[in-house]
Amino acid sequence: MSESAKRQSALGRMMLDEAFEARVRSEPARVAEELSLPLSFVLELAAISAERVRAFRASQRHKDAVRGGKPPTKLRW
Amino acid sequence: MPRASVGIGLRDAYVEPLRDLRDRRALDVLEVMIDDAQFDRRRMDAWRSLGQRWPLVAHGVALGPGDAIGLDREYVRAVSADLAAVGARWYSDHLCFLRVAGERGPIDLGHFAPLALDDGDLAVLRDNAAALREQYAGTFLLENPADILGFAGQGDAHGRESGRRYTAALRACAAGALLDVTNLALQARNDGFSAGVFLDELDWDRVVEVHLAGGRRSGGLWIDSHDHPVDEEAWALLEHVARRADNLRAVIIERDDRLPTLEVLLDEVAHARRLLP
Repeated sequence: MSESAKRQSALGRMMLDEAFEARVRSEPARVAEELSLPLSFVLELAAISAERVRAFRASQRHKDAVRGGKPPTKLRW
Repeated sequence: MPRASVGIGLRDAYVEPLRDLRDRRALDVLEVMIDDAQFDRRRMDAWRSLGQRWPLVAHGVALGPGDAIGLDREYVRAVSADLAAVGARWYSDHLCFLRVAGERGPIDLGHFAPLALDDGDLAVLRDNAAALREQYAGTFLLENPADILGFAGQGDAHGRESGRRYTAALRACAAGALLDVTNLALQARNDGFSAGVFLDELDWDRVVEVHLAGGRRSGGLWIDSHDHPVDEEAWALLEHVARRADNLRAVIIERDDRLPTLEVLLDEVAHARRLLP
């Protein structure tokens, strides 16, 4: 997997998986090692406020609800 | 300079009222949500029928031009066929990534996720735009999404850099700009910058279309919910953009939820027309 794909996967997982979000915040070095990502990038993820992540999820639910017959997004990692 | 066309995002609830609308000149153009045809093929017939009265342009939410795992080729083939079948003048989607590698295969986030727009992201955009063009040879526009995460920072320096990176992304994709002035206004509020610093970094020749909608607050942040009337700040930005964008061809009012009557949207169309040079 390319570096860009690994970064996108980590950011996406943080939006979908609350347990992963908690780990990014509490043990960023371990997450960086497990995912072979630079620690500086995982620290950038950890710096995204919990309020902004909640707003992303709220917006995601809203878009799922209003889009023309599209089945709900699969949210399980 | 010819005046830009003004119209609305076509939703199912407006199909019948538009068929019954006596004054065709109440709007100039309709924008179809091209992805929606994949969930109900009857929409194609409705769009082709309305396409006899108004020009159609097409918008999407599922391309993911920044997906580092590559575009969904099956989706691109299906959308390209639908674009040709409805005779869309152009096709637009959002500057973002959507699909990521999960443990059991690709996962659709269902929401536009922000790109860092570093060299790696620009290379991905270039490759994905080339893949799109293998199927779709028409004009492609990239929309600036509202980045709720504020991933790249705060303040005017961040706003200026966002404008520069948006322009770099347009060049990488050889795309036109669909400038969503509501997204810009909401992001500027969330991230504490002036919309003007973003606009100053635009390649204005590329601006082909403007979107307007109404957002709302969720917690302490603004989201682009498309469920309220266009607000004053977005109208002012339209006026500003229309003066600077010589290639502007269309202005579209979007509403996805809490849909008003067609007449209410047509009042917004009339207001937009009054703001254009």
